[in-house]
Amino acid sequence: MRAQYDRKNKENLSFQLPEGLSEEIVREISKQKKEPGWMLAKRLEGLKIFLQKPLPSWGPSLSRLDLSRIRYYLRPDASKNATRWEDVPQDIKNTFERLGIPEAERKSLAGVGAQYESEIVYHNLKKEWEEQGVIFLDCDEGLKKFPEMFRRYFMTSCVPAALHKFSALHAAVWSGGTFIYIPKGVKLTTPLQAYFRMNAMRGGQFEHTLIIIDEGAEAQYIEGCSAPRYDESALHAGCVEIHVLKNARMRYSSIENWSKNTYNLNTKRAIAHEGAIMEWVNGNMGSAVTMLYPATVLAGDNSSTSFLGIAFAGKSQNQDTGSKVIHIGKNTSSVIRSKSISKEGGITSYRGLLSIRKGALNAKASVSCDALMGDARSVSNTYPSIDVVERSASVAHEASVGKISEEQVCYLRSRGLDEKAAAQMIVSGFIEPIVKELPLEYAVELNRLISLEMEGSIG
Amino acid sequence: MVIASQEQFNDFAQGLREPGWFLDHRKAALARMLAAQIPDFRQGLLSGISFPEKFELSDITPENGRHDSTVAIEYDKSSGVSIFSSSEVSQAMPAESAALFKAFLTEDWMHDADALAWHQQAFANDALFIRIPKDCAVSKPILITYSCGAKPLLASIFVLAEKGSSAKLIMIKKSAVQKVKKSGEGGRKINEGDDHNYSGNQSYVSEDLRVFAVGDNEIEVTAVQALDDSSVIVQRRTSWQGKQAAVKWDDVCIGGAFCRSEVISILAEKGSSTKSVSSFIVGERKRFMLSNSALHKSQFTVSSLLTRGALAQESKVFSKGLIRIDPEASGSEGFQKQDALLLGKGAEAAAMPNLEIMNDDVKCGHGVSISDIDDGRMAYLMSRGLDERAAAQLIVEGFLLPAIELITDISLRSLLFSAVRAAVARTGRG
Repeated sequence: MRAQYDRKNKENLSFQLPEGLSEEIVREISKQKKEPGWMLAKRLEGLKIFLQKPLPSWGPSLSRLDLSRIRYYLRPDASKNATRWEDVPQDIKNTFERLGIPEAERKSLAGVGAQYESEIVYHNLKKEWEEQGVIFLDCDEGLKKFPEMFRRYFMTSCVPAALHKFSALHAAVWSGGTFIYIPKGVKLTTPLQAYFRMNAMRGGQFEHTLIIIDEGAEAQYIEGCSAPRYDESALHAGCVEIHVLKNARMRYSSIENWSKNTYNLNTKRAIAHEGAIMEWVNGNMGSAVTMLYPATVLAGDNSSTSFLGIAFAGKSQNQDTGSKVIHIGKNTSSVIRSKSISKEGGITSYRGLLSIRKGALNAKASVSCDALMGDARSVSNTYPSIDVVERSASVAHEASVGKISEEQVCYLRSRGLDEKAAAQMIVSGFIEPIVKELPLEYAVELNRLISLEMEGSIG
Repeated sequence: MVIASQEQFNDFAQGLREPGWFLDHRKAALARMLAAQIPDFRQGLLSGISFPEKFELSDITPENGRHDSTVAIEYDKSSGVSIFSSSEVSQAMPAESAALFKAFLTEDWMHDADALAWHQQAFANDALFIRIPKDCAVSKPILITYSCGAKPLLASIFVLAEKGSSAKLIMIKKSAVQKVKKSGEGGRKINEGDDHNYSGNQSYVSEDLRVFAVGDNEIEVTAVQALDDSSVIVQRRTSWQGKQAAVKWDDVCIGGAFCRSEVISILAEKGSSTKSVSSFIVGERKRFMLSNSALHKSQFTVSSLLTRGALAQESKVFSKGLIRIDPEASGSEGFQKQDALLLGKGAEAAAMPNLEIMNDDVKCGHGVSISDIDDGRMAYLMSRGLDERAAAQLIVEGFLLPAIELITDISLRSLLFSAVRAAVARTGRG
């Protein structure tokens, strides 16, 4: 099953820029996209910050990531943004069909977008939602059609370019991604979906996802990501910005299964306004190194957020993930629940921040992280950081680390299961709280992926 | 910025009459100090903790190797325990003891050391060497009281617990001004300094306590820091534990404008264990940094770390915990808990309970809780006739019970209770 994701197509690019990063390259990307001047200025500012900021001194080593050899902009040879599946070129179509994209759309999803290399190749939104004013476009097109909304929300209050080195890089070279706007009071009953795929060698993918859920609206968005395997490292530095306005509700689910030589340095951040609810469901399977900490700023009173995350690290993988919550409004609440599995020398680290600022009266927060270790060579780290300045806050944190218990395996075997099935059942039970929050087809995929990865490691 | 210069060290070393090997140790530590970064105490938090604004780091280096603090030691001389003071450590120590003493000077003890820790090694101006002989069970606690003066005190305490020995050590640090009130205490005095009225300027007290538990030991260390509110305190306790050695730490921090207290248990050999309780009561604009670490290096080692305390007014406490289990340490267990009660409106508590697990055959966990006094409990106690202040006091005392019950000494307990009363009073309850 892994082979299905690792398979690569012949590179078929209509336009690509040379390796490495320079002001010329950034200007060229902006020119190719025929962007307004302010966006170019934003990109150049991002480049400046990127060059100034040092690499993070903490976390996994990024020494094997050669930023000067990454190809920062690749445009596949496809008539951009086909709305009919038949118009997508055959090789790209085959890839996405292997991954089950059109099938998923036919079944139950409200809309689907698919990104190949740096550009969106296909998107579609069911008519009933379009009529209600829902916007589901690729980000470049969104910028052209709704420049005012972009000026207001694009990399401003939620993820400013200066947040960290890779958000600055993203600001400089971003391309493609998804733009979603749900008008006031519209409640989407079925999820929207996008799929991101890197195919070219040493490619970089910097898709930008901008989601605005207007007052009282509700939506769910699912994202899947993958890349084939090459001998040289690829880079994914995407950015997700979500503005959940007053009394709105958003659920963002993603399963990231990049190939095992990708550096996944992603930024995800949401701002929850008064009474808003933001939910993250995050699965990290592939990639060589992941540094991803979805964050929610609970800016409005009575807002709340939850994070459910699972990370899996196998041989030579380093999954450094977690979640951040900043409580600012009154009566806010947050729940973080993180699970990790490491095996064959893989490293999983939970790294999180929980900050309760002055004036965030009656904030309630709880964090729990559990780790399961497959063998004695693997590593499991927990680095939570909790900062409370408000005495009316109530904060609880707990974590546990353990292995698949021999007693549990023994019990299941006495009930007639073989050792492998017993171990798989224990793992399924361990990740169940997260899997049950996913739509059925994703839940099945995640379960299958994990049981596949666990194969041969136990018993 | 560096804490101290080579020139300062040369002046300092001139007045010392120490064996060459000890001076070499100081010189090596100085070199490490000069290369090390000054800690910024931020730890990645939004609002860092810093040294008191008016405190100059250049003031922490002692001149001429002298200090004006008093060290009083009480112990049962018939128990077989031997204690050497600074001058004896350096001059009159028997060759055999000197050889043992050298075991304390390796870099194995310097886990996560920064410039302040190296500074203490280079400029230590007071030392005690306590030797608990083989299979000796010391029933009466060894009591060490530091009455600290205005000049910097950098005290090193080395405890060698030979195989099969057990003992309890109580260490109290207070300001000399309090000593005047309690004068007339008995005991043996070393380094008699001038009694003086404390000027109120910030004084610097640094302490490095090392417990070398060779094997099959039961060692308990109770350390109470109740210094003047203007003091700056940096203390570091480390245990190196051999086979089946058990060390209990009970660290209580009450005083000081700034206090950094570290407890590090190195569980080096099979079956060794540690139980460490750090507690604090803090008010005003005081800044405490507490850290509690257990390094599991061998099989079947057990650690239990608890940091717990109450914060009044605009105090800030950052508490850090680390349980590290090496690949060789299968069958080990490690737990840590950090709890804080926020009593003050402007108080801030930050916690970072880290786990680094490199073996799957372990049981590990950690927990953190930060909250105010529970309204339901207050209501219950007040319905039973207690006034608001008494109810709050009772809840805080109950919260600190794990620390309080470890302290058997009555006067120390009353010190802790009065700190609780003061903290509750500062919240304006009642």
